Amino acid sequence: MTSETGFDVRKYDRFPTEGSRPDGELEQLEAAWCGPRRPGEWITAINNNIIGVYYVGAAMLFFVLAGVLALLMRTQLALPMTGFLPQETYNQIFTMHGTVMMFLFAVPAVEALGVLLLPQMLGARDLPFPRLGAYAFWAYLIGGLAFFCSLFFGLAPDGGWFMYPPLTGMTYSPGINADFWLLGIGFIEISAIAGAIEIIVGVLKTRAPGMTLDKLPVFPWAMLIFACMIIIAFPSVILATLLLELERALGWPFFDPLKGGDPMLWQHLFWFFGHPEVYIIFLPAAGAMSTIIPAMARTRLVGQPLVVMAMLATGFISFGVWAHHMFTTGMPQISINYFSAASMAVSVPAGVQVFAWIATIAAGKMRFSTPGLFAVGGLIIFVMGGLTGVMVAMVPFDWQAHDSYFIVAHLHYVLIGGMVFPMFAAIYYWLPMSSVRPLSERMGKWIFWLMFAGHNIAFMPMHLTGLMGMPRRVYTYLPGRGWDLPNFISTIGAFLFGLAVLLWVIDMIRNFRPFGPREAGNIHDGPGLEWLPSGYYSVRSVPVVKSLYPLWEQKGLAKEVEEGRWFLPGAAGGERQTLVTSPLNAEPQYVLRLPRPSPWHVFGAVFTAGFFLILTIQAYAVAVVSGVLAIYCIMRWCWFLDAPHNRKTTDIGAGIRMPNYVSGPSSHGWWAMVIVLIVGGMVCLLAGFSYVFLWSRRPDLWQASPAMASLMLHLGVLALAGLCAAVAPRMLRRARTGAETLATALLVVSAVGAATAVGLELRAWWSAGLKPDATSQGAAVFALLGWAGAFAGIGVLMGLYILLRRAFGRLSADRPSTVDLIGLFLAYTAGQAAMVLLLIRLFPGAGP
Amino acid sequence: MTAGLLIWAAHFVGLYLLASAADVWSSTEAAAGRWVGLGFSLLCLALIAVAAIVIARRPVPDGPGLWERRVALTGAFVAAVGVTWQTTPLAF
Amino acid sequence: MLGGWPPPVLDPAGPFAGPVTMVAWVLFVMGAVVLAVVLIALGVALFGPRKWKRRVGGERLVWIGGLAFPVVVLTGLLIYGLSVTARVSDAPRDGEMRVRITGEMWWWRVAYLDGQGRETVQDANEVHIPVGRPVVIELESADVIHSLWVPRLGGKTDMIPGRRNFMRLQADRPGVYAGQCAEYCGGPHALMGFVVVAHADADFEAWRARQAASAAPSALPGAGVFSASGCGACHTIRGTEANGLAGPDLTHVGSRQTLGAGILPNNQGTMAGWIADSQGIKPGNRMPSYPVLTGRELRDLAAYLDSLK
Repeated sequence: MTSETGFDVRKYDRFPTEGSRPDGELEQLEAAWCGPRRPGEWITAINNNIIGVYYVGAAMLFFVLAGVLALLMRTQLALPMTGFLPQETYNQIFTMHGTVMMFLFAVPAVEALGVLLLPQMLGARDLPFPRLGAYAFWAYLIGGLAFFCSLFFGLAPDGGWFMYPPLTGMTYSPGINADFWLLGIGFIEISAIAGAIEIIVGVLKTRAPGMTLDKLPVFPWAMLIFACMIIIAFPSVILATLLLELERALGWPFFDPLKGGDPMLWQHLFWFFGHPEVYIIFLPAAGAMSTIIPAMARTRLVGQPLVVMAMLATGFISFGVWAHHMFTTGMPQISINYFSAASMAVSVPAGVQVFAWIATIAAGKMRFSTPGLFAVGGLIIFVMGGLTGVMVAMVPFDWQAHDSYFIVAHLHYVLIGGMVFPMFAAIYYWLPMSSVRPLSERMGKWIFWLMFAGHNIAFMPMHLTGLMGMPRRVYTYLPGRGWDLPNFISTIGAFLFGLAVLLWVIDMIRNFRPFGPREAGNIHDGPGLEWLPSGYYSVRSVPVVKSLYPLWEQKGLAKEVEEGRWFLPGAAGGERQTLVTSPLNAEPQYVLRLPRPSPWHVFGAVFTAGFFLILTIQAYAVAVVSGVLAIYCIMRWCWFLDAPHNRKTTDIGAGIRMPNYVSGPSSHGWWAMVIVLIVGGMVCLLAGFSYVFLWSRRPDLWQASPAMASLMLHLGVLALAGLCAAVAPRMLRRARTGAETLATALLVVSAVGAATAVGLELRAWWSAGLKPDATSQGAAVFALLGWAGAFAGIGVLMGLYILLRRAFGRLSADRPSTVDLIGLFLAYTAGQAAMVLLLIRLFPGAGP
Repeated sequence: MTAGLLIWAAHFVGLYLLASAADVWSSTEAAAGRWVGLGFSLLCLALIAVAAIVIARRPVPDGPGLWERRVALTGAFVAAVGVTWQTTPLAF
Repeated sequence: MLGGWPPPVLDPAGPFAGPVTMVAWVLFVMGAVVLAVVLIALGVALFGPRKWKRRVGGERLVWIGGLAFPVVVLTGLLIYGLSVTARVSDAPRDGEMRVRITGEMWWWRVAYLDGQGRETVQDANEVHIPVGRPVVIELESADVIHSLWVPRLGGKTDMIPGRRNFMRLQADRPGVYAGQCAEYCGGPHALMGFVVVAHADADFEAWRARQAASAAPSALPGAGVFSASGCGACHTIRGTEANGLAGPDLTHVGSRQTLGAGILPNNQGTMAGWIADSQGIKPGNRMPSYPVLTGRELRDLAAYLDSLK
């Protein structure tokens, strides 16, 4: 095998090591990774074993809450023209049910599963950015709870979970209800993106040595694709919520047809996120199925490369299906047909996975324990949802089924079969990893059958109510149309489902005991690394992976791992460390020092959430204070990054020494920054699409751009800014004297330059008479410049940060990462601003 | 490993932009747009075929390489099916 | 017979619904067959004898069931679907009868257009069409997005502010076909109904002639109540001084099938109830309740409106 990094893989043969481990090594490891000792440390904790459990728990809390809302709705709809819920309450409740299930349960739940399981599955001690993960969790929990509570004050959004303007615009939704959705959800998306960065870098860079792509288990594969999809899809909803909030707060007409806006722009942006979202939810769940089914059937996954291919294909094709939510909007027929074809294509990979699961069940011998039951039940329900999915992918049928209860049935079959059942299977399967006691098998079977029956009784009749003409999102219906009986049956089914969830909650209270001294362990005889004996430090030593099913095929592995005979058996210098490996062949590259618990990320999360929520209730001064505090806390947190090391290298076992520090493209920080910039670039790209889209609707409203001479000047300043940012890291490494000062100066010049150029450009447009609230062109131009300006503004904050670091002597040519990453960010900022300028000046035509 | 699927994505975006542009500018040139679309589809299919052949012929000695090749080739197959399906609307 | 049975989507009454119903049946059969195949395979995998299990438990199943089978089935479906789409939807042509329907929160403004596209007859919440002829519907919105759906006559099409969409309606037999707003439009979206009334040709012409006429001067006491209560600020009755535009045109309200946009049968009793308590019947709609009117005034007003045939 050729080496990816120059690491000699024959060194793997030195393991497992012989002889006894030094005294005190295990104690030092345990001390470095000790759990919370004081009550406050349960909040400042960052270990994925703790945060992961919180995270899954919070997601399931929102599942239960949104489920209660569903029961309220089903009670209202049990009979025609009932007055159980007033109309406005019902409208808020159905909006919240969809929103909470999608944004506060489904995405966070699978992300939480990733945070909890990935390090153990990959043989890492923790994820590469534990504080970022904890920050994302706290922001999500606080933001989510506050968002949910808006329901109790009658302030919950009521525009449906996809919030179509103009209904959600200021004219038709004057209250702050819609703002809760836009700011609350927009903010929770940021937390989802933070989680995605963590997962991508974790899967690519912190795998156990030898875990090449073909030996990477299917669940991490799914999480990797999931996280990449978040990076591509979520910018779209972030942009959409930004634009709608700008329209609501400042009157910038993106969606108002009277001033050149178009409500269809929202639909394109929302569904470009919204449909991939379904697969974003489904893929990790499918990955869990592909892990649980082989374990339950005690055999290898049949067609594993096909399954991975199917997941990759799903990831791609799901971005080509967004407009199948828009077949009835009067889009050109040929475009609609493309989306119809793509919608069919996306069902092929789903079929591959379903048949791979069936073949695996046939190849082995399925055990009907609770995880097995949920897996098989989920498979059946998902297939039925997939079949109705093919039906609604057919344009003529969709014209009838669209926005009717048929769709309600379809989406619940897909999401419950494709995500909720696998989620329960995953909880039953992996819970013994985190709990002293497993859940009750007897109760589990009851829960499964109640849920399976309840689901079908609730949602099967909805296909019929849809064909009978019942539209979705109705708070009541008239008698005499034959809708009464199927609705009544649906309500019974919903309550059976609710009963199943209630039993599960009871069983969790009875048996779930996390953070104990020992876990129930590998009661299912699972094959993955996550079943190795572990503590808060994850595995005692990190094994070389030689198989896709290491615990089945590498005999004696558990014992050797526990005896510390593999990589990184201790905590050198009492530090928390994990091994960073190369992205393709997982060859060891360096030892990453992980942070310890601290309160700053928690405060940062509190104030970030505070900023957005207080903004919603329009207490602007308080919001600004909260925002400044958030920036302060995050800077405090960053202050400890890139700190000096006592030792240059660490012995990772068998006399192999690895550096403690690297910079540049091998480092985990570099990967994370690149991913952040991809997110920024996606938002900018989609904003550019919006600009062109709005132009195509009303070219007559477009005015000429300012004089060309100013464009040249601004581009020149940006080129200078980009150049400074690009050379700063090189100067830091090369300059003989004053390297730190020179690099700092270059970065500050770059940040100020980019901000100046964007500011000058804004002034040029303003004096040319373009106003953001007058026409769609004004709105689009100022939004694009605003985005570029926001990056420049963050760049200025980074400039301030690097100045402070220089002043306090926390910058060194030996540790160039800080300068590298800020340089990368600023170079991107200048490039992005230049692209924005070129677009708004030269399209559709150059000015005088 | 994802060459086929990347070409699928390029094909999808290309056809979508083509259709949108045709819708914005005029409907009289719809027929011409369809021929351009067909040409583009054939080009993409050819590219997928070339990619598949290159991948299939590249010598790979070890396990991970073989595995990646299988993923790449089946991915190219699905991409080819997708591109073909995307092309059928041009006929209607 | 149970109301609502057979389901309207499966009980087409015109050429824009028929082929779609056929598509639906083809899809249901496809779905049933595929589901059966999957369940049989799963059954064999779970409970089958070892020999059968071995045949199912290999990668061949994934290739056949997961790739070959869907590709063949879906290729067929795709081509079938595209051909039906092309058959059912076609750009409007000159010379076709046109009706403009504008979605408003939470009712439908209906205008019949002449050959030049000018609005002739105004109506609300129902559209009358001649049997056996396609009628082009221009769909617009005055406020938010709505969607017009008459399941027995075909699929739905959205009404989007700033855009004009088209659909065709055609019924093969005289009758009344119920419809409803399908795109959530806030508030009482659930109570935004609609009816299509299909007439034989001669009846249609008679209806149209009647509808084009203005209201005759009325000596009924309710006419006085109407003007004294300020109803004319929102409603038009052609031939009187009532010329409001915010609400439905009431020139021929007595001849309508329903009240409150497809939710109440139209008679004097429901009319009086609607005027007195429209907010109780359809909370949030734009017509205020008139609890100030006495019972006698309500009866007079309802009798007057009912006389506007």
